[in-house]
Amino acid sequence: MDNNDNNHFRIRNVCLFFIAFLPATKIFLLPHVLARAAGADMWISAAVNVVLDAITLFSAFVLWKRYGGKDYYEILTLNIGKIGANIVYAAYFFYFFFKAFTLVNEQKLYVERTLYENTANFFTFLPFFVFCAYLASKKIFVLGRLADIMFLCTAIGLIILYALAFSNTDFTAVLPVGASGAGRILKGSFSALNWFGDGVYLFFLMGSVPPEKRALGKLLPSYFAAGLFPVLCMLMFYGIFSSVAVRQEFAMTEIAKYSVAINNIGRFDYVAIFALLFTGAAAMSLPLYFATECVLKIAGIEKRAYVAAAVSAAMFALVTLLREHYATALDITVGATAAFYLAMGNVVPLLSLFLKRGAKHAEENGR
Amino acid sequence: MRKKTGVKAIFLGMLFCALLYFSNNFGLIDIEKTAIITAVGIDLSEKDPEEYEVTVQIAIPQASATSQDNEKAVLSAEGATVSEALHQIGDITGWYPNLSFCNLIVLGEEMLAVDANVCLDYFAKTLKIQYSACVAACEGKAKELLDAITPLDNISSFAIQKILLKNPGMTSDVATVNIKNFSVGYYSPSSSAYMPYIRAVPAGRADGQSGETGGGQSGAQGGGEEEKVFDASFTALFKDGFFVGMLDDHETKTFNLLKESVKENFLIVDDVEIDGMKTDYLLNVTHNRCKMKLAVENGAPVLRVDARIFARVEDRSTYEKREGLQSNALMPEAVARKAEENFVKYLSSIVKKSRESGCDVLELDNKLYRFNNADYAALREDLYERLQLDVRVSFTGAK
Repeated sequence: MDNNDNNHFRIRNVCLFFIAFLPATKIFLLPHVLARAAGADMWISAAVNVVLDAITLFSAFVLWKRYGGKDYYEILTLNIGKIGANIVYAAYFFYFFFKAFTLVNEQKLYVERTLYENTANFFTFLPFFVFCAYLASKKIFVLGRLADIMFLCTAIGLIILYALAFSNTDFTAVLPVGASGAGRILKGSFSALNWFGDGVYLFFLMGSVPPEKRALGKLLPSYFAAGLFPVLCMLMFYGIFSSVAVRQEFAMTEIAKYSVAINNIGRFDYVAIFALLFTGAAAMSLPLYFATECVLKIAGIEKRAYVAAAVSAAMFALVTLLREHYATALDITVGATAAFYLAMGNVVPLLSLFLKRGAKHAEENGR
Repeated sequence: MRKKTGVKAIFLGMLFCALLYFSNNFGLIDIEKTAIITAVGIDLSEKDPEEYEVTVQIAIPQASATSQDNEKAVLSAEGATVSEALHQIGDITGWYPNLSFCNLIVLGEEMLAVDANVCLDYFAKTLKIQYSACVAACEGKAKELLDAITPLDNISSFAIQKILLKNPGMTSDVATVNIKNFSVGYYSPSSSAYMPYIRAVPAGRADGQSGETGGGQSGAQGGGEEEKVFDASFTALFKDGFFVGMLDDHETKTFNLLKESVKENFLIVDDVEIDGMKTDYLLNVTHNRCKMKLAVENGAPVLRVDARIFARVEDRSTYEKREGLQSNALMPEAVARKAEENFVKYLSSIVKKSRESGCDVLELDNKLYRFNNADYAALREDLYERLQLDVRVSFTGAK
């Protein structure tokens, strides 16, 4: 395998991929969802999800090492046959597609409600789907290049927002820790599964990442760095809004604007917000990218652009169709379907550890 | 070559769409048809006391070549809800009411007799207004306050905002709150909140101020209406949304010293007896370190206040030639003791008013829940009745 080939990810790209894209989707609607479910202990729920995803990530890492950078589809085919692999990939298609629905919908609502003074029409958000289809039509190394650029936007955007919000945050608002009870904390974690499950991405990247030494030492710290941002976001969100946190639907615009600097200078926090919307647009395209990938593998279609356009068009149709039913859609996402997200985002990756057939052969080839 | 041009065209098209998308050009409203609301005043309707009379102050942008001053329009409408009244204004003027620049919401005096949160909740929920907008109550009608002529600014709400949002940390004479703070207090278990109480004072009669403030003209302007300046040093207390009491200016200053870090803040210490002579001192608080801790001892709640206030003498009323050679940085012992006595007196008064009114202005309920959770259920009902004060306060000059 040629490491200099532009068609591949390096571990460095994967690390930046985590930092660039993972936090960007968790600061729109998720704080509201978690506040509703877990109250002051919402940050613990988020931390539980980060740990769960770290386990998923570790499972992907073990598989990646075991098969020396083989594609996940190939690994599945070796172990459970082509039909089995197709079934798993079909399940992942639905997982990514419905995961994307919530992410796209929340950013759409955020933009329409906070950046637009008047009611936006359905056409307003159309450019995103064009971008999404364009991104999904590209080869996977494009995501690495995007991450190289966008991790700075995410990091700077979050640091500016958190720095502005820090002085107005009453961290004691989350005390006493665990007062909501284990039940509500776990309910919060369960409700948030749609926004997490990020470790799964490594399963779909593993075929493009050549083996590297000390990869885990780079992957885990960068993953936890990316996971720290949302946990901190939850802490600050509750520290700022405490008793009214449950009704703040879009945290990102809200947390920084009580700063003295904002009062005196004006809403320059929008610079940070736009930086995060920029990375957010790419981050919410990721599930659609991997949904496209699933269709390509299952159907064996060569023309990537057509599938990418079809998947994005289907998402546009779904979002448009359910535009007046977003609250019901959200309730379904954080309710019963969260079990499906748990299965695909955490259980199936864990079960993948049992995939061993053909591993020795791959190791020998790797040498 | 053709393929590369196509990709570039798509890329440029996407950039253009992104520009329109993020800059809200897809949803642009004609500025001529937009009312830029700078302040909202809420009163009870005179015709129907169950309805609100909402007054908005609208900034009218002026071309810099023709005028350097801000111009305003003050319009009112009535409705069963605040939102309805606001939209009435839009209907009768043809302007789209833009609340993005509204930084002040004023409740008229009549609103203190009803649940203030019923109307403030609209602002707390809508995304059209910034939650950092200040909330205040006022003497008389909010409409009259917004219509007042002031030498401070052509737009009275801008002048009021100068009073409410002084340089951060430089003063502590106003207990400023915004929509979010009020809502957080209202929805907290103790359901207590507060806001500054604004009084319009004739410009020539403001305590310690001349009528020539800010270079404006004192007295009549245009139609002969009296010019006003604004005092917001009193604080209105609310319990369950209803007005239940008032902190005076001394209590408000003490409350602010406890709550936040201040500097360049002035305290008056009257009647300090030194060598048989009574002298009034003005102290300049250079900085403060105040901590409040609620402890439960032998089943009783104890509020421990540890206040360290660093100050210097700014001025005094009598002057002896011998003392004229002393540094202002050194505070006479008698002044420090008197300032400490005053601090304890005003703090006790705040606690007494909290107990009597039921407004947990010191947020002791929160402290009990967060730091003494095991005792919360037993003590929360009669927390202020059983509360003991343990105050350690020191006023220190340079040593």
